[in-house]
Amino acid sequence: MSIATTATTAPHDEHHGPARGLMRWVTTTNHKDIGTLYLCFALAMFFVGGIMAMLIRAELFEPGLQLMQPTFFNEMTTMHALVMIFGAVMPAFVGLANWQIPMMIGAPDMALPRLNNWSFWILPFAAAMLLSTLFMQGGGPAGGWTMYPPLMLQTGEAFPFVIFAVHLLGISSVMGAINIVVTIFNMRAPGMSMMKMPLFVWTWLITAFLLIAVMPVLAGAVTMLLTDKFFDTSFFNAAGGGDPVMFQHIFWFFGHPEVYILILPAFGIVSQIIPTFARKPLFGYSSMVYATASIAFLSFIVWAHHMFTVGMPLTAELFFMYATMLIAVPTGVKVFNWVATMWRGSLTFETPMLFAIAFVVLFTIGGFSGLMLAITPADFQYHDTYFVVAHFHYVLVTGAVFAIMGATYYWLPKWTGHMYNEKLGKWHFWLSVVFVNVLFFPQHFLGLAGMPRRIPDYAVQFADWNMISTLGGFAFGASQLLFLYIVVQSIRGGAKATGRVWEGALGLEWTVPSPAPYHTFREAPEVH
Amino acid sequence: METTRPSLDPRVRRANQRLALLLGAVAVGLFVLFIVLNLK
Amino acid sequence: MSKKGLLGSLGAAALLLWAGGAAAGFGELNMRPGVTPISHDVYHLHMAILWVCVAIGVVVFGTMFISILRHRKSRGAVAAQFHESTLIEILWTIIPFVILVSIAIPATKTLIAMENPSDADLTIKVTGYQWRWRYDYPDSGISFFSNLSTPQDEIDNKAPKGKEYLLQVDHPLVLPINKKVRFLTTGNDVIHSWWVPALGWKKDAIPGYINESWARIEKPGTYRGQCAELCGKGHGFMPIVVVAKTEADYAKWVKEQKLAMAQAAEAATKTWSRKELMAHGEKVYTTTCAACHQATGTGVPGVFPPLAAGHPFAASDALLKPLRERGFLDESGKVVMGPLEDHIQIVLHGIPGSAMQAFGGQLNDADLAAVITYERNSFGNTTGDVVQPADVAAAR
Repeated sequence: MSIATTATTAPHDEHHGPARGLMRWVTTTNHKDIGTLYLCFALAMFFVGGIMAMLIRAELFEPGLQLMQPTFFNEMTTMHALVMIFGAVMPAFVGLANWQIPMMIGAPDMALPRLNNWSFWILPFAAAMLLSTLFMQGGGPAGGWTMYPPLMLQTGEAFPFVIFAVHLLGISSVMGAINIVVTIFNMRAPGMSMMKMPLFVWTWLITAFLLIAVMPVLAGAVTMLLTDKFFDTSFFNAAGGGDPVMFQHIFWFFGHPEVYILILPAFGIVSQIIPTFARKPLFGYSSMVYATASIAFLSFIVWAHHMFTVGMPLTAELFFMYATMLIAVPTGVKVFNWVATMWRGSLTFETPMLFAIAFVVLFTIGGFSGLMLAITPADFQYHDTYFVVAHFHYVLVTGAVFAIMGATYYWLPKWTGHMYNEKLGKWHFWLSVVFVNVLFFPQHFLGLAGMPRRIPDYAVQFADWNMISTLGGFAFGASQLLFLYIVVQSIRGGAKATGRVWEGALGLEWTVPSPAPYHTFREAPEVH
Repeated sequence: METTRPSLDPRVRRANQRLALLLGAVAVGLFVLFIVLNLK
Repeated sequence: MSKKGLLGSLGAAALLLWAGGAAAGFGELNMRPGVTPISHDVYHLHMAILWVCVAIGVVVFGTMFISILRHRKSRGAVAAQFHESTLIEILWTIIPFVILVSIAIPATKTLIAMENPSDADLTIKVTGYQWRWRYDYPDSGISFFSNLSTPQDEIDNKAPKGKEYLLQVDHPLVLPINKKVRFLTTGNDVIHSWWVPALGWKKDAIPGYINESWARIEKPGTYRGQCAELCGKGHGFMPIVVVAKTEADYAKWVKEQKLAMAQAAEAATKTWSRKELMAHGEKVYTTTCAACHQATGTGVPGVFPPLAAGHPFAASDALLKPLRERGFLDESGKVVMGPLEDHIQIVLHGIPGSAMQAFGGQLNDADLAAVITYERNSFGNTTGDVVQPADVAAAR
């Protein structure tokens, strides 16, 4: 294949494919390579965070302190969340964006390929630094991933490293988000209007705007923590004229859009998978776009529902209750549209579809507990209990993580050229879906029965459900090793995949061969 | 007005790449050093 | 496995949970109605929204499962191609909105009632410390700390756990029933949260802030709760116990407390024997100091210095300097029992910028004298020092 070179083309020869060896991965500007880097990093972080979760659940197996001291337990809960959110889920979604968005819009690569490389390579350094704090004097951060002052200021030597790691992670996300916005706005193939873009592209576009808007807010909040500790400011110190609650406002102004950042790409994934396996177009495309945009907008005005117990004025409590309840409406619309897509389709249940269906059911359960949490007077009983822990694990694990796994099964054949082992995939699904519920559903009961969050030891009436939850946790964790095996096996070999892979698959990515060539859509495709 | 653009001269490119590698190595070195110095 | 498997396994799991729930121990499934009018309202709101969610779930999941069963390709289903309907989008936007409004109205009423602490009969001040609660009764002058009283042996799995494991304290908060009690809640060091589920709410205890809340307890009894905001290593070990008494019993209790306080004030002026100081000091040490300095006085390496002379303390300069300055660390990095006056000052005023709090405002002169005597004559220390409450009073 030859390309007419002009005087403005750099004289590097792209016909010989990617560079060889380690340097390929260090210097690559190819969206597929960078996507792979993000996904491998995310998978490794998923296991790191997963081991922390297993340690937490092991300590909570029985009442009493068996395995660790309370301080280490607090370090584990803090790091588990930071690793899973910033090391696993967000990079995984960015990896999927990198692999899929250019192909889905018929573009040859991302708009800013070298920025793309830097966005990724910050991550291993940031993660290494964050994890190294566990081995510093005073231990790693133990104030929760929410880092509330004054408690967070009692962190030991690790403190500046945690702040710096958060900054680095944020910079990576913002740079990636800018890349995504510019790519989507400027590089769609002719004929692909905005309202013809796949939903995954739409949800990532909106997510990217959320990232650009709120990551700097987090950076501001943690920088104020830094100056309070080292430079004698009193942003959050009442004795100095400051306000600990202001941190919570700033943090959650980031934090609430952040959780939508963690779920919108998942919505996009599910909106790709279900139509494929229902052999039926997505129901209500425009509604889905408007609903996603509404959710993103509303996500900016609900933050204080994480702070109902701090003592806000009544008017504020009422406003945030109403606004939070309102988000249920567009979210519900999306769930109904997915079900309507399935209705009177011609359904088959390969592994990606199983994960997508489980997502719709279990994310909705997480949505229900979210709606309950929105009711302020009721929230006074739920807040800071295991009811909240159950809620966010339903939306993040059976929500975001299941979507990522479904997406992996869905697109692995396109990436590797091999069909993954469908039988093993189904085993992974069923083990995961059963045990994730054994792990998290009883936590609703624990919260309602009165068990607070972030405690390493508990009263005896909470013992039975904790034991069940721990057993579910160990089984769920072990099942993920099967996922690792399936992914690695599929990279190394397997039945040859066609270009289309799935009978009902529609979209530009399915018009290129499997595995997708190193460079795709060097010439823009025709879009009808 | 002439627009600036990256040099095509291979010697300049090589020199720039070496400088980038050096600065990168210094940055990574400092990064690792500060972490290791603070480990227990 | 057929797709009925999904339905089947979820159904089986639910069934198992409910069947298991019937057995003892798994009975903890739901919030309790509690013992105040507000807690009853909150319980009803909770149940209402729960049933709404169940109903919506049944409809949505039911539709989906019917589709999974009937519209499968293996059954010969051929896909329809419809993909939009403005009418249906409008309907399933408006109907949920109306359902939400129907919940928001009673929720608003309850919230307005909750945020109205006026016309209270009694005010209690609640202060969260790391890691215990302090209660003040401004009208009666009563004030005390409420510490976890579960023996460390139970936590360390060396003794069997009692029924009230981790939910028992040495001095519970005593309140009268049928009176509107106003709570003023604040924090001393970091953010804590005061929560007794039976009362129906929790309120954050924030340093520099005073939060207001109220409760009218309708039934005498003992109600237990826990700190509900991560506050460090002792977060899970600072429970709350409220004992609600009839008005008569409450009045009796207040009288007893005032008497005990008068006796303690007397004790602060008398001369204590060394034996008395050591015994009382051990109690204070176990409750107040052992969390950080440990029961053996050996501290936590790198974090909390030992109180046992001769023990090394490896830590950052920031932690070592204040100890060296006050004469409690020798050149080889080992802890020494420094001058008595400095020891008293450290305990009274803490070490600013470190985790060592100022206990002058938390412990009375007798407690302080006893604990300092105990420290200087335990863990291998042999200073022979005996500190009287009057010495502490003079040093303030």
